Amino acid sequence: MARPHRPSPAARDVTGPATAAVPAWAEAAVRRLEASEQALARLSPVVVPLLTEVVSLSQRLEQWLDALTADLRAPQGNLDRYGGNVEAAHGRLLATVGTSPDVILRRFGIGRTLRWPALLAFVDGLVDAAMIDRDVLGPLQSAEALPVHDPQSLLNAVQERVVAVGHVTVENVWDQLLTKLVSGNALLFLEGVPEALVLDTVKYPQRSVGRSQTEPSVLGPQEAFTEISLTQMNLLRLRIQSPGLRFTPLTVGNRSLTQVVLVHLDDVTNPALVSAVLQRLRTIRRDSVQTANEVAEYLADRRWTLFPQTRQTDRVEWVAREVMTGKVAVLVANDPFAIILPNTLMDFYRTTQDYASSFWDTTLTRIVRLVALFVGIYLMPLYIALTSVNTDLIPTKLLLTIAGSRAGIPFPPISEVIIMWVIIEVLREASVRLPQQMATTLGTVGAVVVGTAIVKAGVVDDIMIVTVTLTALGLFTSPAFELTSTWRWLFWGFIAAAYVFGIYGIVLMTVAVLTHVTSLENYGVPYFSPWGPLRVRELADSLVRLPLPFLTRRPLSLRTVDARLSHRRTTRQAVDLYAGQRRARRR
Amino acid sequence: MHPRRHISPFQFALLIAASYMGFGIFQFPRELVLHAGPDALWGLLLEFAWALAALSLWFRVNRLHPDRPLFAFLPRYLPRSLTDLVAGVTVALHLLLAVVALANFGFLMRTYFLPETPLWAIDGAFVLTAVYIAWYDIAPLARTLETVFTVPALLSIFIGLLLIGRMRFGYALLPTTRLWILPTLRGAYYDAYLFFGFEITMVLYPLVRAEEQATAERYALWAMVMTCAFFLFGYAMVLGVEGPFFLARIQWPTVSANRLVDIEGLFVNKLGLLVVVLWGLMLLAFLALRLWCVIHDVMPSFGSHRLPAYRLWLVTAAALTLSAALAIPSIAPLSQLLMTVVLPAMLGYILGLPLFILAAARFAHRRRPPPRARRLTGTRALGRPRSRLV
Amino acid sequence: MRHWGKVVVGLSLMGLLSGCWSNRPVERRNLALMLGVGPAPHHQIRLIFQIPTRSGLTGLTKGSGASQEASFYLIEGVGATMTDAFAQAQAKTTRDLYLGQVEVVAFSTRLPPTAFEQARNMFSRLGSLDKTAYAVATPSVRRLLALQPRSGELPGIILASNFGCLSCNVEHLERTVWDMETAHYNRGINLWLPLLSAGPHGFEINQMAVYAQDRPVLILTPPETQALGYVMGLTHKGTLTFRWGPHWVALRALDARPHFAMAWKDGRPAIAITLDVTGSLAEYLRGELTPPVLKAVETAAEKDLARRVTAVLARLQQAHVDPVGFGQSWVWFHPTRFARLGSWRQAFAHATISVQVHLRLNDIGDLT
Repeated sequence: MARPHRPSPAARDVTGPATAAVPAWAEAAVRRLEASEQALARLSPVVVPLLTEVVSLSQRLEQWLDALTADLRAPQGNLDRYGGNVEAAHGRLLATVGTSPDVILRRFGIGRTLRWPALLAFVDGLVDAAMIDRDVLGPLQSAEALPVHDPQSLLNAVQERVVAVGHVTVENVWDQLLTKLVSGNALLFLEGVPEALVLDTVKYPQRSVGRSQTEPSVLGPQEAFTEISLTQMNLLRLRIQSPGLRFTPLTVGNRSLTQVVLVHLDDVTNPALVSAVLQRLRTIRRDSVQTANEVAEYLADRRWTLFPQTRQTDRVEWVAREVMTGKVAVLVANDPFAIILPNTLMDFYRTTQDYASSFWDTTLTRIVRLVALFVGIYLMPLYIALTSVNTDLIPTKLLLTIAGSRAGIPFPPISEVIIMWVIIEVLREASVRLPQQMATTLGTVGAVVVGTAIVKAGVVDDIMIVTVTLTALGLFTSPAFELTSTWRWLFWGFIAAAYVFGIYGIVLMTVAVLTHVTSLENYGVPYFSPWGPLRVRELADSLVRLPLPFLTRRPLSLRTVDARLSHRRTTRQAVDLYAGQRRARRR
Repeated sequence: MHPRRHISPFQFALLIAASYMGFGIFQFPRELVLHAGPDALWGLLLEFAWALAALSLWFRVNRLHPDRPLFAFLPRYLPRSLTDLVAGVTVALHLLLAVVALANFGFLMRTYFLPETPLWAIDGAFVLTAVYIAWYDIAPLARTLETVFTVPALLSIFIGLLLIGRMRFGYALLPTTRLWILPTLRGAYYDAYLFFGFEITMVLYPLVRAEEQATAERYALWAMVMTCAFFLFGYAMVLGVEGPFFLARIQWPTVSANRLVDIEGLFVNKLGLLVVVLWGLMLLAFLALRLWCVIHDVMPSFGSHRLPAYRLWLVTAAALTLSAALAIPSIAPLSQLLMTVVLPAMLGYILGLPLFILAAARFAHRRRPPPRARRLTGTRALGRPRSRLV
Repeated sequence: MRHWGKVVVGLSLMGLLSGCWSNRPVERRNLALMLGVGPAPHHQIRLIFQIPTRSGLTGLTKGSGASQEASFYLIEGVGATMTDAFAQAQAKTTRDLYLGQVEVVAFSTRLPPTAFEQARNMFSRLGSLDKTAYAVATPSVRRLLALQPRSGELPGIILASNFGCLSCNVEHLERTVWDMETAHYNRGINLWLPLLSAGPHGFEINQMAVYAQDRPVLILTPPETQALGYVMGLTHKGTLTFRWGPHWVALRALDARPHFAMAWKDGRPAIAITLDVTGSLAEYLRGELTPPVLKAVETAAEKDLARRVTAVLARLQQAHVDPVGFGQSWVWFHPTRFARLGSWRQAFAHATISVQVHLRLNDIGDLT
């Protein structure tokens, strides 16, 4: 999307009534250039295309200058505003966005008999073509009994009686007009009226609401966001029908002008959190914002940490749940993933299924995740530590078995780890990039063939294959995609520590990681709560999940306006409470 | 979204416990049994009593000005030069404790775990981790302790229970009916290092919210009671497993006892040794707290309260500690240093200083009633150094 | 500040990764599973390490224990001190001799006291030695360590599983290096070690060697060992055979719970031992077993057992050794009490010992 052209500073200085001299030099220049072209065409055939280009550019410059001149000639003429001259508007649009094939500029006459000159501009594809034909052009061309005495009343009449579009506004600043145009609105310029009608004819190209592919869940709702902001908001409204649900729109990206919507519950979320996030969003200075992550990276408190601080999800239900908890969500247009913040480490281990299935199931799943994480992080470093440094800590028989299996292997355990890890990472990356069917084949081939072959070749021992498989599986059990790379990075830290210091190194490394995690805070929310700081009540939904009736409070660290999650109130009472709170705030 | 400035009563109690638990856990209860003989149990109980009394005494000192660290209000009662002297002694003692603890742990690790690793690497990695724990100031430090402290504590109890099967000298656990005063006192004196470190409350206390300070005191005292129970349990296990005469000859009795635990069927069957490494966590907490405390004693004197300055001091203090610890050649001179210098100095400091301050405060109050509304302009720079740090 | 931090971290990482220090993969270590300390000519000490061979290691996983190749080999070192002997043995191999997984440490019964003391002292100071390794006494260290079990398994593993099993033998004669140390330093108790010998059919463990001042002063016979085992709580599958009239009566699965009471009478210690024994009747040929008859059998067994126990205790008194540790508590709480008698060993030699046995037969089998 092209950003609307801004007049040069020199041009902007020329404001005020249309008393300025007509730039005749421009016309003269064009004529002189045409003459020069004819003369030069005979001289050198090589430069002809170049000169043709120059002439074409000059013509556009002429149009542009015409348009500017017309705008200046208008009463209260101003280069920044539309002056009321349809031809000038046409010229200006042609010179700015009109070169793109999808921008349609249609000149026509309003009224069956009146034939008042008008210009309709819209972007083909972004507008609803049926609406343009049926509700805009048709009624305008066939309109009868239109006032002719005054262009302004004609505009009013068109707005009030003729065009059959739901949302119509009036605008005359060119910057705004161009922005509206490229975002899918139709612009209607009338001769003699220094204002244009902006007709909301937006029809976004969008896919239907589908299932979440990234966070599958056996039970519970399945729908995922689409790329369209409005749909995202609608889906959330369906899930949170409280009048307290607030959408605060902002535009980020200096050139992409991406719409970002901050979602929160007015009567729950901490107002300080909302204003902090808004403030942070306003600081984003990028030309283009195409993904949610480009926004999310501006919202994190600490930028260099390995631990993710914002969670991104395309699950509607999850965003609704988190907003209800007292967090805020940020919807980014053109990306189905919403950003949720602030988060704790535990939040990355919660999924929809945790609440869609029984608490026994959830508790078991969470314990399995924790065990898998421990296996993923510690198994390999422990293998190195116990077979190379602290060999006295494991049972003799196990050590002898390992020694037996390692007899004849040319590499030390650390090299084996590196070899195996490279294989695993390459296989993983390849299977992600390949189409689904091939990826499965590749995975099987990789796991079975390479695994067997490498042991037979005597490069890696059998126990290492078991260890590395468990490690790889363990590290990928994290339900949030954001965390997988975190642990994979840290894994190497643990490997290095185990290599040098054995168990002692692993313990020191664990403490260092824990210190780092506890030092993290997101908008004042400690990242490692409810363990550090210890919040005993919130342990009820951490490693274990108690039955939902026991989970009655929102997390303390979110400092919500309403701390209770379950109320014994009727809907009527809730609405009254909300109204009361609003009154109190206003006072 | 303000940075966290306070610690909860629970965290306070935990920090106080962590400030002394790691120091003596490895060599305890050798000196006690060596000097008190059959009256070791009474000696231990006496030690618990003095520790609880001394902690209460320090809380009384804190209560003089609950919102300020010790050296922010001390000039009120003592001449400036004396305050500076006390501050200097405090810093020196803290650093000395840190050096002894670090060197001891380094020798221990080299003896049992990493025989071919140079001491500078073992100690260096340890100090580096301690510095990182203290890097973000007190709030993350407290949170880290909350998270990790329970693991070695619970595992130690588990290992202790497993040791019951190896108890061959249960007779030594019986209390004597005829109490010999002098050996008991000697035992309690020589084993007093077990509780060195809780004087850190002089800087920690004001970090607790005013309305929670009474609770925090109660929690800290209860934590000490629980620690005493933990030590008593450890004493019983170690004595029962090693026997009194052998115990008096072992360098690190608790470690030796832990090494005996062997659980069949586990991936790591020598679980006791693993616990010894985990005790390193307690020592890490001890060291980190010591460094933190030293800096908070020093920094106000230089008028700097900002985080970068804090970190600069932290690294300096850590480097000093490390170099001093590496300068100690072996465990024998270290033990001598502990017994002949650290022990009397620290004991005198822990018991003497609060008594002295309380006496001085009483004297000052008698001469001039405390002007509640007036703030001391001279100590303003010293007051609340933490506000921008945490 | 930040740049300095990076430089420091970078340098320390480089420093840390520059050497391997204690990192030595297991296949580059010589894992000694058994260790023997024996006498050598000219008052020297002989140290023998038993190291598993590659086939010994792989035999563990493949299950082909009885392969043609030997499962272990020995490395010997001789020197005036333990350290010299160790250094000489180390010189004979290119890999690090590793003691962290030693399963059995064998001491020759012919080891001179000074050599025994040196060995004990070194083992105490050696942080890397596993203190839970089993300690045994043996008539010949060389023969013991050279014995290849018929099953082809590693001897260290077989012995470790045998010592680790509470009820695999008649007596659970398990002693660790740690026990050696405690028995040496703690007063009022003498060291004892199981006597492990290499018999024609494999290892034989049914005797006890009792030490005094670092040398074995008494080697108990198997029945004596069993009898003392009742007093020490070591015998769990004891047997007792005695004549009752014209027939033999045999009891099995005897298990005792000992209780002691110590007193000081007439200037000497008086030790009262009570044994609560349970067991099964194995052989009885004299007709039907009525309750009075069973009681009579029990009484006869009690007498016989008390006699045996008293006899072995008398032998211990004669040798001035107390492996049970009757006097430990007294030495600790009343150190001046027997100062007149010299040491506890002297006091024990003059002690009056009474043994009382309460035997109950729980099981008489499927025959009345």
